[in-house]
Amino acid sequence: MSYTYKKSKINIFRIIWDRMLRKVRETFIAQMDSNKMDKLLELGLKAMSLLFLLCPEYRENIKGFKGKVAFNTVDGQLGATASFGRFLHLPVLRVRKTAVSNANVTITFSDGQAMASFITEPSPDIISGILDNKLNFTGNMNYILRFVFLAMDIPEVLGIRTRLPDIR
Amino acid sequence: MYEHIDKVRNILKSLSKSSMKSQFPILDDLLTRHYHAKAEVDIERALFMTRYYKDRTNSKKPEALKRAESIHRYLSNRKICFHDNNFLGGACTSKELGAPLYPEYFGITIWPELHTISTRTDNPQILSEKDADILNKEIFPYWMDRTINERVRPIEPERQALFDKFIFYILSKAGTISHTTPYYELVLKKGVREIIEEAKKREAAEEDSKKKIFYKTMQVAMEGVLQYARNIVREAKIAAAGETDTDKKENLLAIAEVLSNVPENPPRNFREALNAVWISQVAVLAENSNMAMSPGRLDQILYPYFIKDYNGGTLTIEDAIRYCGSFWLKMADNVNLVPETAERMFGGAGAVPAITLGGVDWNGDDAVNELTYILLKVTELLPIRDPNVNARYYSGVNTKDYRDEVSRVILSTKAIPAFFNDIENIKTMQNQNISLEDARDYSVIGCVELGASGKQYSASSSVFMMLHTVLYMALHEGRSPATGNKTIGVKTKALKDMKSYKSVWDAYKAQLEWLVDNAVHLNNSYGRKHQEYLATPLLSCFFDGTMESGKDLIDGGAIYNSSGVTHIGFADVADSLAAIKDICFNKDNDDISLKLEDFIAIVDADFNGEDKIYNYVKNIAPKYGRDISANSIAGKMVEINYDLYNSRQNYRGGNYQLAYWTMTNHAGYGRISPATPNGRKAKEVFSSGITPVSQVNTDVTTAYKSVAQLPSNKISNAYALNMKYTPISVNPESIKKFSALIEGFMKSGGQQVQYNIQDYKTLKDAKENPDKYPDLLVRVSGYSAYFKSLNEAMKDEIILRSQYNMGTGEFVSIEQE
Repeated sequence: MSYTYKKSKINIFRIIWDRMLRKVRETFIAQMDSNKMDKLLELGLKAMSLLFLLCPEYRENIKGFKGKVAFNTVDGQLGATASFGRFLHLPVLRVRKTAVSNANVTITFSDGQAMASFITEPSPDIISGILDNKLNFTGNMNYILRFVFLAMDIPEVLGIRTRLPDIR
Repeated sequence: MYEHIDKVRNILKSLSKSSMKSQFPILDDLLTRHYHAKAEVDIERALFMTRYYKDRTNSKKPEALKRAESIHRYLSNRKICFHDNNFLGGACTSKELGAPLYPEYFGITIWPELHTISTRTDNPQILSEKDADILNKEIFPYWMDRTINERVRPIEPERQALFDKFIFYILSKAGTISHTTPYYELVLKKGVREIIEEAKKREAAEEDSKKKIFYKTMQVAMEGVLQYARNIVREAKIAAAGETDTDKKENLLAIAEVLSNVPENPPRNFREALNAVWISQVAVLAENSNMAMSPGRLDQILYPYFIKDYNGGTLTIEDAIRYCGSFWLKMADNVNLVPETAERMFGGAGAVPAITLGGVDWNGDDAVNELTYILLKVTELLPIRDPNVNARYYSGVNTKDYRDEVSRVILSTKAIPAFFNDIENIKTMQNQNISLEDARDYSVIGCVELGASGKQYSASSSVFMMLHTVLYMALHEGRSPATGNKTIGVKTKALKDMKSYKSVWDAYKAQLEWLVDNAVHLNNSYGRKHQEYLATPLLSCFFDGTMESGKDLIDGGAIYNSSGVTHIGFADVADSLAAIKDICFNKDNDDISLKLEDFIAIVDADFNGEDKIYNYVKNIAPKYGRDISANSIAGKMVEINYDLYNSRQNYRGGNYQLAYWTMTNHAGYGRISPATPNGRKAKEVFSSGITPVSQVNTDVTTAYKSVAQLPSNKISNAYALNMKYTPISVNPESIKKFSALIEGFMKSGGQQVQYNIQDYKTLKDAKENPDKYPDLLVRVSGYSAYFKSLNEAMKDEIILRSQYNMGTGEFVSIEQE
């Protein structure tokens, strides 16, 4: 299943979506090209947030969901938080630039590359990541499973269809 | 008695697989359907349970009663299906081959795969978009804070973190309350109605509030079973009314007739008895996931019904085969739901419900009867993955004819059943304070474990301990491959400070003790959370002792209350320790002598560029299965495991019983593990069960004796010994030879052995051309699997297993062939 801005019925939303997404994509690609990982996660989460905002069908996936999924790296250099909640009556995703301490689950990556792979992989495999020592987590694993399900469409939304090493 | 058996055997001789189509067309059709059935995810139970609990989020009702009511609701309202012409009524799921989803356990782990599970490469399980949507929006969100894993995590964050890493230990309580043998004989003797009435009386007379609730839960859950049977009767009659095929119509009406009586009342005949056992199994699986929920000694509990009908002329041998064959195929109507990574790592396993045949009775007399032979014939006619069929054998009590017949079936099917040695197994059970009578009445659980039938809640797969990780930690100051440079276990000596083999052994022992301690604590915490949230009123109804004690099975209501531990990497670790001793601490070794730190550095570098050392370790260093020194280390490993667990208790006040079987874990874990000092390179598979490492050049007698010399009184849950023989034609001479080999192994003290009668060439071809071998059945490590459905690592492991020539007993190397 994949969700795109085309599912948004209102024209003005399409235009806004197009512009915002283009900006996110450009920044995302530029980050990868420059080998900088610090904004990748944040940009990926922003793309997800936009998709929730503009696509009612995608938004249905987080109806009633309250929870925080935090991300960081072992060295503490990179971090972000996906905070699922509600704005007025709408389910939304808010993106924070740091890993908060009170998250339901915190995923810690071995390094920026592992984090980037996780974001750009259409179907990230948590268990393999753990077995390969690429990631670790503290907290409720089920929040990761839900997050991964939600994130599966993001690489496509960002125009990335393959694993990170192949597109670079 | 033996004359009657001979009469039955003569009839059975005329029935063969080649004439299945003409002699048993319905079974033949069911078998074909089974081979072609595609597994489908079944969410029916999950949806009923979720909606029940959601409606009672703020209810103050005791959790045990909620559990009973939720099971009652599911059983009373579930869809009734007649997928085929099976002679028995009732099905585990609403699908022809269902993978039921248990959201309170591991079901939620397929969340990321909701849109891909139907199309994944390894053993796809079909899930409709509609069901995926229900899981995503209704079922999983409810359970995400309520799975048993997440209920345990806050009280055991550190030990749970070790579990999450997978490489230290895994605990099956996160996924099931199972791995046991229910007492289905009780339903045959009393019927469900009498059990309910007894619980009702005890509830009324009981003053203890917890016991009162328990008796209530028994009634509520069992009433669900009766309603389920009534619903089948109703639907069977409706289906029969609309059926134009006379045979199908008659069968549906017969099912309705059978289930009008059982399981509510004791069965009046063999077919009713068999269906009562099947409905009981279905009911238990409505409550608990199917991980080796094993029906036990069917040839014993069904025998009175068989012989009455047979002698009365109302049942022919052919009828018995039809009904029992139907039961076999019903047992195979469900598989476990497995996420993709687990499938890649451990794929191909069935649910492994074990059936036990033969052996002795509680009095020590020969228990082999006519039905034993009939069920062996069914095993031969229907060589399917589940049920896992096991033949007990008591040398000197059971006849040679029986041993020969089991041997013949193994040679004919090339895989099943497995052989169990009653003499050693009864002794080792007695060593665990199980009475002689109860030990004699043991049945096999899942892969190989032993339990006093219907009296022992074994939970026999509670802990999988990774011995290779223990060794790695011992050689790296408590660090593990999953923790990088961080010491996670005991900070044992640095390699340079280990000046003797004893110091290596002490480090191994220290790390093992640390991991055992963590695993036992965590297992007990899981058990206590089960007690809080996952009462088992239905399963408790099928155990001796629960009614009398007024306690649920998970509260210690059974007569025996053990937990089981099994071990991965046994032979590789034994060989590794032997290699270290030989290379680093053996002054007489003139070939290779290295400092421990230098040798382990070579191992850690995956023997890269060190061919001489690698070849020595691989071919010359002592090996368990061949050399006395390594065998001795293997024996000491068994001893130390026993000593460590024997001093610990489980949460039900029972003990920990040890086993050595690995399912497919030895292959999966091998694929993610670094090299070991025995010459196993990184990512190569470990040896299975208790089996010596593959391709060690030795004769079959030495291999058998090496295993048989292990202290079996300290292996109370038995082991899986995998042996592979070059195929031979099945004739009286080959049967005699094979049967004698088994007798020899048993007499020298072996506990269990299972076979693949396959050669390297065929197995390699089956890997290359799976379509040529769609039904190729192999023994894995305690259970059977279709070769095509195993993951690549497991296929390679089975191909690589040492092959022996049955005639000469000589080892046939893979290169040689």
